[in-house]
Amino acid sequence: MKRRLLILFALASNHFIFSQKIEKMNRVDVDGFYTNPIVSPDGKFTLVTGHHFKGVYLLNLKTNEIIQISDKDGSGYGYSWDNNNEMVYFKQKEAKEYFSDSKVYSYSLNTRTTTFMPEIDINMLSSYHGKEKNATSQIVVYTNMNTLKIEAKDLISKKSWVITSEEGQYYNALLSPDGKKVAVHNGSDIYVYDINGNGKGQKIGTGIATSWSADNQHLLGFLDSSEDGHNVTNSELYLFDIKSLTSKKVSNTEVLLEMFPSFMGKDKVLFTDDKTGAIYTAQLKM
Amino acid sequence: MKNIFKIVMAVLFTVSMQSQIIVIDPGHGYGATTSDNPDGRTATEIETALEVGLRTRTLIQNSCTWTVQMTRTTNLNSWVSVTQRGQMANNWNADRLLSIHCNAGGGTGTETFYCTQDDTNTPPDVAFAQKIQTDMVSGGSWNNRRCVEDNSFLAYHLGVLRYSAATGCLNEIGFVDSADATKLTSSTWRDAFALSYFNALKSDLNLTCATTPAPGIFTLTVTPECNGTTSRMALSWTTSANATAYDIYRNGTLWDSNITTTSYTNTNGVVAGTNYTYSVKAKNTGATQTANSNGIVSVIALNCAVPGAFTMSVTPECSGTGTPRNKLTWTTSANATAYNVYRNGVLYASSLTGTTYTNTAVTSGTTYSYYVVAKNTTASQTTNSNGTQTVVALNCAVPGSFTISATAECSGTTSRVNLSWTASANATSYDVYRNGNLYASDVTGTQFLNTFITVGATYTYSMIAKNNIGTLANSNGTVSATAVVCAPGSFTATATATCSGTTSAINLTWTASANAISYDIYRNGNLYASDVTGTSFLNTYLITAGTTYTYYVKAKNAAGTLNNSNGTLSATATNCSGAKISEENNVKETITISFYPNPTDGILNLEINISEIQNIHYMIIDMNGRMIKEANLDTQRSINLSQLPSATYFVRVVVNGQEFVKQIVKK
Repeated sequence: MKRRLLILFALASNHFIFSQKIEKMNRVDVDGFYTNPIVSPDGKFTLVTGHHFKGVYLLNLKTNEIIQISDKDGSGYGYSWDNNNEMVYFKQKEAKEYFSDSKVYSYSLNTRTTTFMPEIDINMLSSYHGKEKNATSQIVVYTNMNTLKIEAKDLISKKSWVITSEEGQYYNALLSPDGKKVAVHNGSDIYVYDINGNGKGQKIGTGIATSWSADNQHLLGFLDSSEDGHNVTNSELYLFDIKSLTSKKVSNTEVLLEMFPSFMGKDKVLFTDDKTGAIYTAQLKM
Repeated sequence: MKNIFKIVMAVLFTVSMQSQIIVIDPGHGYGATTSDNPDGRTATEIETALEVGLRTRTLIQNSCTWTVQMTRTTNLNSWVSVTQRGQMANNWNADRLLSIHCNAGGGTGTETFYCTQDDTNTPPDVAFAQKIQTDMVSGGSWNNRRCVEDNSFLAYHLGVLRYSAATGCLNEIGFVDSADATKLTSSTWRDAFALSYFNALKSDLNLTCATTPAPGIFTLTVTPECNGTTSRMALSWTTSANATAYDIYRNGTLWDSNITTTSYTNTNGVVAGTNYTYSVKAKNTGATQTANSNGIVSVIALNCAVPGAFTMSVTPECSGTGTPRNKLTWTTSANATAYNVYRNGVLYASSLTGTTYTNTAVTSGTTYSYYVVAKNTTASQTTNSNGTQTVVALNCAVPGSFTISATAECSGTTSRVNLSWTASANATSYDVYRNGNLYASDVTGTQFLNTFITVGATYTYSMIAKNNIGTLANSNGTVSATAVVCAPGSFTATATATCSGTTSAINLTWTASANAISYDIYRNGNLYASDVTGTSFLNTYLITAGTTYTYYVKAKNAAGTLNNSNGTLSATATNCSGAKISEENNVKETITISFYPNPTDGILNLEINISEIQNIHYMIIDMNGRMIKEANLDTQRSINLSQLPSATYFVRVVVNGQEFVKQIVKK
């Protein structure tokens, strides 16, 4: 009964009394269960998905209008924005296809049209942010499905190279906005590598990194925990400092299962609560 | 050695990635030590789950070419959160996720859960879970506990299934805290459990791992090329072991099939500039096909048409910093992908993709020739249709300092002012100003001869050097020169015997000598008459019929004298005593004028032999040719020179169209 009162009090005030590094938390007024948000570079929209990472939705953070871009399997993981906030990229597969046969599509916010993009590999999707005009180099990162190493490829020169030369089964590579560093996951840990592949990975913490700060100095992520290893019983947000290789917990609630934080501008964060599928925004106390 | 072989085989099968991807998730795991047990699970569960998982992977890899990955492959340093397990499956494109656990709490048998929370497509999860459950019951000889949706029995959703997009289930093999534990730790039973999983996966995926070995790993290369003017794609691939044929996929759909060689040329439906993706699948009689290991290959079709006609122009110009450059622009050549610029017949810039080129390495005043060649991937190239264009690089610096000088001189008999100057650096031409006004423009060279002048007049000169950047005046200011009198010019004379009434006479005539002011007549070698004006002289005085007289004429001015060019003339006087004076022969009386006194103190008198003459025009000219005084005389016969300074002057008198010039001295 006491705990219920505490939850009610917290939700009513929109502020949590726990010692945490986020404040001014607001729930985005949209119905449904959503997760894995990726906020657009200008912070006006976010992509989200639903249960089982199925479907792609575009949420207007100003009007709270939400539209579905895809309802296909495989579409809720790895989607990305172009740098101009005009296009989103996602993958999807048909019912009888394998996930590895998924195909990449673009969706235009202006024309609301979906276009097949055969030239983009599904594994490079999350670090692909649109074709850059007059660029001499366009780097993407991906997991080599044969070796489970993280590799980088220059889409212009077609040259590719290995980032993670150490032993490991890597996943979820996250390219920094300036294209110079890559956050990767090996087991439960997060490492940061230089894009050139010459250096060794530096461990910055544990969990899942989900968003780089625009200045390339921080990563946001989360770490879920379980009482028995079967279901998630808690999850908190973490801020990782790339220079000092330290992390700090920025949320500390018993009420929410904060997951998948995404930077909204310099010091604002958008994340989802995995209990309810609600979307929240909050101010980060960096 | 066996281990090495196993590793090699594992690598070979791992890199031979197939479309269907299985992720096996042995539950839980330790931290750095077995005492670091974040999930608080038993060693039996942690180690059995891994061992059965590894054995399942081995079965798959030894028999099939599916790709199989594991969320952990060790017991130590292997704990990962349930969300991370789901992320691994998503990142690795898992089609099936099998999470392996062991039960606790007392009981016996196996049970399988699936998670269909808000899932719109539940049959695949249910079918997969049921197949796992069925095969584990039979293959593991287990009591069939249940196969149900997780939340319906557990009252929560299993994290690993919830966060994965793959079709998945979680199997609790048996109980660690009952008699089941004996089977869980038995190697034989672990093999049986792995085989059950393997068979269930094959069945659920509707795949058979046939005895026919799957096609081996191979790589694909796609090269865009031209066949004449036709664009095409040349595909070649390394041999896939065990393959009997290959299927070609273009843009994700089957393009051609059953290719038995290791190359293929795509000639149909290839449009220049279009991006195409290709992949190849090796196949044999087995069910499994092997895609090229380097993934989808993306290439852009070449433009193979001969570049079209185009024209080019070159404009010399100056940059904003004042350096010369030649700017080439050309119209677009259809089908061209790049252009080469040739300068002076030599390739100068290549592979330009735009339609302009600025040649900055040029020297002012130097001539350059250019032509442009349009090219693409074909062997044929097209040169600009308007041929080689030639330009002279501009001078882009303002004119440099220079000085001028003006010298009065004669060119033969012509008086002129020789204006010359030092060259102004960078100047392309000059403007000449005379007496403050623009007199000649766009003069080139370093000399200007001003002949349109009046002798004795003084002229001032200045100049401006020019080019397309600016102008500069000569540094030494205005210079002046006074036009000089030039020596008399060549002339010829004739001497003819004639009669003046009944008087014998010799009529001496001559062509006008340029610049001459008067003439002296020499008869028989002696000065006979001086300061004669006009071009004739009738010699009547002391002419004796039958006598021969010689004459020559000396033209005069201040600059000198010159005899008639045809030498001494002679004429023999005729006898005129019998001559009658007819009306027709009435000879007009010759006008003679004399001036006196000479030298004079002020008044110069004129004595004219014909008293009726009026309207006499006179000018007084100094020795520099400048006119000092001018007036008309009617009946007067004197000129007042008293106001003039003492000097030598010329007095020029015109009477009835005849000119008389006399040098006088004013005292």
